[in-house]
Amino acid sequence: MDKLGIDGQVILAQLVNFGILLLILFKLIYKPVQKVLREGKEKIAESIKLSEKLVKDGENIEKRKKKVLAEADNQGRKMIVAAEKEADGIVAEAKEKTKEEAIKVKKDAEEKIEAQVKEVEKVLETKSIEMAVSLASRILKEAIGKNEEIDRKIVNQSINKLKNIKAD
Amino acid sequence: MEEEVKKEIVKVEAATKLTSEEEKEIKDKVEEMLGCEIDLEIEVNPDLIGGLKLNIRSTILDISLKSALEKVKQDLIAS
Repeated sequence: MDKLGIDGQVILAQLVNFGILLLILFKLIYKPVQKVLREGKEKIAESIKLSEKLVKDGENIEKRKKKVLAEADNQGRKMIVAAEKEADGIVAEAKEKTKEEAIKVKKDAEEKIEAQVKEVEKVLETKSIEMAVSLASRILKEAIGKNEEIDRKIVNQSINKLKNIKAD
Repeated sequence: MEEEVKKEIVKVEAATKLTSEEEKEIKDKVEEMLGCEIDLEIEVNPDLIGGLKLNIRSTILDISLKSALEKVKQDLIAS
């Protein structure tokens, strides 16, 4: 070894130095680096977990959104159907009411016409009676005026009627 | 001196001139009805057609043909 110019003690000392250096490096650099790496890994894992959770939440929100939209759509359809049904009911009711009103108006008009016809008939009847009685009066007046015998007979009948009246 | 009793006047309308006999019959009957003596005030009214109409103490007693026809007319209108 000496012939090669290698000093055993120097090598040993260098080995010791190197060992010490390794120990120092291990203590001062490797551990913190490891720690940083572990923490980074944990953070990444947390981030991945969080992003997965967010994705899942997003999916849930999307599902809920679809569900809400479907419910709203369903509700809307139901409301439209109900509104259409109600509108149909209102139209039918209005039609029925109009029909009833028309029937009532027609009936009233018929009754009015009938009453007017009766009134006219009554007036005509009264006029006819008045004319007939007036005519009969004239004929009687003429006939009796020309016949003294009938004249006396009627006067006597009147006197007999008077006699039959009881005194109060 | 006897005081003259004032007689009641009964107005009689007749379709034709009455005979004295007819007048007496009417007078007797009305006196019987009223229970007192009366005087008749006779008037000829051809509008009565036939028969008599008496006005006794504001009461009209119509037994004329005109009245009978009027009654027939009212009955016909009412029926």
